[in-house]
Amino acid sequence: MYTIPLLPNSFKKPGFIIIAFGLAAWLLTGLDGNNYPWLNIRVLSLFNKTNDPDTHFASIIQNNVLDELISMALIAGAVFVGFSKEKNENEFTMAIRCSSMFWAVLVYYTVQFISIGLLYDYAFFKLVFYNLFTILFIYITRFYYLVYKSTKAMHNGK
Amino acid sequence: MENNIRVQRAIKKISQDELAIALGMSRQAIHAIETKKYIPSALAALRIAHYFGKTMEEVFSLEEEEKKFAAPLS
Repeated sequence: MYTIPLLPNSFKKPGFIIIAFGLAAWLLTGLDGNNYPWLNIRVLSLFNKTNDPDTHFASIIQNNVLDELISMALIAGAVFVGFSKEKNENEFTMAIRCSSMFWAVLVYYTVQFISIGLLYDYAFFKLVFYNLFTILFIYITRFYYLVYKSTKAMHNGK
Repeated sequence: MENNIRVQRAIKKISQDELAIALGMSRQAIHAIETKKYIPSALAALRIAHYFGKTMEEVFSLEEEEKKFAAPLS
């Protein structure tokens, strides 16, 4: 049977916990790092648009890492949840995964396509940031919805 | 694609659960195949047929509509 490499099932629970922490931190802080000056640290920046050409590539800059930490937590958590094996992973769950990923990618690019034509400057940047989570969010939501639906249909004998 | 897995199960007196365990699949998958909501891969279909001691054609068959697109080469 065709399968793709997935994380062990044990990653699922930590994934949900990380997502919960990430969402709680997002709601509590609003991604505003100004209230958390201790998160202003020196970080490696691969590319940074400044007036000084020497600091364009691979330079050390000062940055508040609150939004980076929350975003990375949400992505890591969602990857753990979405790409860890079900207890009984088989070709049927794989087919559900493919279908869910198809819709997730379709929605992601539809949103991206529309926003390219209708949003500009900071609003566009904001949308690109939020759209980061679209693929994983829709993929996970649809995958678990279809698993739930097939389980329900099985119990109802439909 | 039609199938008579339910009949084969009844003959062998096994549940969806038992068949799923024997084939390393989930009960949801067996149910989805039986109710034609999911078409199994050729490998899974062969394994199901093999489990019942049948050929694939004895367990799975094309529906009339599908036969239109599967005319044998002349």
